[in-house]
Amino acid sequence: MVSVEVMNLVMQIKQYIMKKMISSGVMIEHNLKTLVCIIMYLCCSVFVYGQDNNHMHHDLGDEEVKYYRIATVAIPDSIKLEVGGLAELPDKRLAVSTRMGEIWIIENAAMENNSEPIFKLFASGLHTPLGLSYRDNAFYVAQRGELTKITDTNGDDIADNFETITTWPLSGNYCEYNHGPILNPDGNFYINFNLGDNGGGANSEPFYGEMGSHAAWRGWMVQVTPDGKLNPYAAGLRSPAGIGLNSTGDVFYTENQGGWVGTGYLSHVEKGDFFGHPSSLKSANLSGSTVKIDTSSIPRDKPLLHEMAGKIPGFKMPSVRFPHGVLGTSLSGFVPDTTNGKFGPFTDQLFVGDAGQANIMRVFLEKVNGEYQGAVFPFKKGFESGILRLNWASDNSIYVGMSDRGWNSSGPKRYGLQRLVWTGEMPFEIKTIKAQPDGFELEFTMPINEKTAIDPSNYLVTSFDYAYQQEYGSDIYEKKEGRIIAIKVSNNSKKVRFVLDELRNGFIYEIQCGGIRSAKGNLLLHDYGFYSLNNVPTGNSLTLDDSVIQFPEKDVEEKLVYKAPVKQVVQKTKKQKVSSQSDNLKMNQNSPPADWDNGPDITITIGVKPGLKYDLESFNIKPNDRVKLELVNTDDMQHNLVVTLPGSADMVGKTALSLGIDGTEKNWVPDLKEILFHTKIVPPGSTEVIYFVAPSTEGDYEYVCTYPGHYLSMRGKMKVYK
Amino acid sequence: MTVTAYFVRAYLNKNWRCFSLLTKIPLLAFCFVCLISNPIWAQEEGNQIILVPQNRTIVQRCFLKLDGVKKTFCVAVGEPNKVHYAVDLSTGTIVKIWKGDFLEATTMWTGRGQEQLAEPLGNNILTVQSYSPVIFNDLNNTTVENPPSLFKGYKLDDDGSPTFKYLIDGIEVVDRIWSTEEDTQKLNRNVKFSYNSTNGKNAKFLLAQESSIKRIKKNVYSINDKNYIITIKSKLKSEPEIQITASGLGLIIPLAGLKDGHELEYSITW
Repeated sequence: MVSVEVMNLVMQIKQYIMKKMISSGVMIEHNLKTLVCIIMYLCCSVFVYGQDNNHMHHDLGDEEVKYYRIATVAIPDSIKLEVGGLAELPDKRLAVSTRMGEIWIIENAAMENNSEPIFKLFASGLHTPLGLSYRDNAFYVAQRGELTKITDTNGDDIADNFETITTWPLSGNYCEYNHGPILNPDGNFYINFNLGDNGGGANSEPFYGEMGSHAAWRGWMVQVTPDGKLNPYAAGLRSPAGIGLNSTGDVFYTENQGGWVGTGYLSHVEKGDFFGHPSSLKSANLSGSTVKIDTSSIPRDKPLLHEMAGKIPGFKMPSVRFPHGVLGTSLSGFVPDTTNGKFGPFTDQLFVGDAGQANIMRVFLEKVNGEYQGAVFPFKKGFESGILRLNWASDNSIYVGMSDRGWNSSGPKRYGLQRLVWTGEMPFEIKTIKAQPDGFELEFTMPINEKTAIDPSNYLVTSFDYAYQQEYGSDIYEKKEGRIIAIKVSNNSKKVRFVLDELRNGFIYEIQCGGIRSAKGNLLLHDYGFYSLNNVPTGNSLTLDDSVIQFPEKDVEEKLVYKAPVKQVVQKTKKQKVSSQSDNLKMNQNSPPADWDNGPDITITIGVKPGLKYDLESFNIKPNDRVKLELVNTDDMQHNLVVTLPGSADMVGKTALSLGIDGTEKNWVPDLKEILFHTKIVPPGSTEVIYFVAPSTEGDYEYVCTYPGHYLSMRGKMKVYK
Repeated sequence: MTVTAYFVRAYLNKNWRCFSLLTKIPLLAFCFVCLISNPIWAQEEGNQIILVPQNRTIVQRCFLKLDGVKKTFCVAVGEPNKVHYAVDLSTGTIVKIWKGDFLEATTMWTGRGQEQLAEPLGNNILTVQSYSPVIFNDLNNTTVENPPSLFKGYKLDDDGSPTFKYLIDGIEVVDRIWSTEEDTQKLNRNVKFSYNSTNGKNAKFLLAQESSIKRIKKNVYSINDKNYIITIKSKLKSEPEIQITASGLGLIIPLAGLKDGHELEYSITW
């Protein structure tokens, strides 16, 4: 807590110094700036890493721009470019399909010499085309009910021929989105069929939860042959907003956290895979089904996901899981780095967009025991709206297509189109994390300082898992710190391999190594990644000879936080529980205080509107009022409500974001004196009641949802005046 | 040349602000239009989103409510002459015909679009139940299921007007629907059939399936007591047949009864 304040202070000082230097016209020498950063960072890191259990992430966020910059494509005010799909044409023009059914063709999207791009309407009237593919003078879109080939047959750059390749059934639910199509080199199309929204929280469809399959193949990935045959390919999908290929042409998809999905992920997809959402199994017995799992085999006792591996034939462990709120909240489109180094040092890695956090993450994949798995890293934040699609431009930049209508993002705009451009500077990053039979090997983008690399206190290795359950999302379970028993730096000083006391199969490993410096003294641009250890490789363990620095076991107590999901505390409101007095209330006081004989002075009920908003923008109370506040979560996402001191809501929201994997445990409520009262995380369809005494000082006290990605739009004012 | 009339936003007070997107005009003019236009899709509370065909037909795929049932495979076609229609593409039936304002898309494109319904505006909206227009058996024959109609897409002419294509049991159906400036009470339909001697042998076209169908004069039929009138323009070898079914009547022309064998043209006056 102290460290947060110090960090903020240090950051402010840093900004102040920078501003002063700029305003006084001082040319900041590159290395001077770096030096200042290093000093500041060292100050911060002392506080951040000095504490054993502190998982707060720290990255040099503002430094990202040195290596990758965002260029904004100017969209005429008259065009609402809610990007659903992107495709670059052979003549380098960019085609964009929009959620309102248009296809625009944009000339000069790169805005050469600062000249305006030219937008031309190619087609309109399509039904929610959330993807766009182009091949041989034809566009392909998945509309709500069909796959369509669109061509311009008379050469006037306006579409005039719309051929239906295949159709599929729908119930008419708005959430029956189709993501794709992608065109595989094998000539087939692949499309993800989103489930429908059941509305009303996790129990609205008793067996399946908040999302449901109300027409054949909803919750499936389907393959469509060029002649229009629809082949169900894989099942168990929930909200599969991204679909694409890796650099070797294998099919991957991204999934969104929710019921049966503890946290979002990117996964390789093979025919017959089942990813876990049981609602899709309603189609398991239809002709053509490739997944024959019966819903009766789905466990209802909330196992952890690693326990599901091998339990049901065909159940697929997702290749790379992204801890919710830490790296993304709603994953979407992605592209593999096929530029051969023209976009930086991450050849063959995947860049994955996120709608909620308006950021891009980076994924390294390797095959272990024949299956893809790997690590996800932070990469680039600060896009202008929720990211839906990514697409390479021929100049080796990435087009980033955005729209957050319906699901607000942390970006300032509601839609947009930008490009991500490598500046040519080499960032100091953890390039890869590879699983080893006895630990992990990290590779860096540049040689590292050996002294920092062999210091085990410069690493924090934590493994954990999420539950597989109908409830929305999941807490983090069985979190445990790993102990490094040996470290070896490679001869070229670019790799470091460390041996752990144990490896937990099927768990997610967070590896933080903020203390490592490059040989030149650089700090890591991002100092952590998450590796999904679905398989432990066979092979040789590290020979613990003299070349390896070893750390014999000390008398350290094992830090195991064991929380089985079955033991989860169900929030039961014990109405008659009398425990506290008005002058002794908890910040999260769920029972009425003992001395409130006449009950509360006022009861406030706050619901949730779609689009990340409370349904109550403000309410008025008097100083020292006794308040009963109900948060009724009518939304399909998790929320909390945190009452803050005047003027501090932004800071509170930002600080919550940095809680990392400790966030769910803390209900995303950081330890800050600016927080007066708060609820816990309230799942969809649930209600939490808190009691508090209003502040005695008059003012506008903002309440805000600190769940990651929500604080910018989800807030209101508690007006305390006499 | 073609001028694309495009979307318009309207405030609740009907303070229309129109905006045209002109194709094939100099870039400068285009930029000027863009500069002076307000954002079309402002999403302030209470904003309606209305589609207005100006100089080019709008072909909008959508869900439509028909007698309380959400039809999920539809298209609404808006013409600049203000005669509009909607087709259930899963069967090929013209299910709505109306005049005046075209279509409200507010619940499709506001927020998440939970309701997700296109709402025909205007007045005098004729609603027709969806049915299979190409049949192979008598209507009474409930033992044999009619083969499904497969929607194959559409082509647009220079004005953006669509011609739809279907495939039913190997018979290709090309369906063109239009109205004229001169007669906006009438929707015209030309249906072309490609078939061979085998699959075309028993095929029939069902012009209407309603509770009451009366012959007014040769080739003119009153449907549901003049709710609408069908006028057949194609030359026929014999008069259309009115079949009685359990649920009502059907107005039927066997393809073999068409004089040129492959083309049927008629109009709907409502």
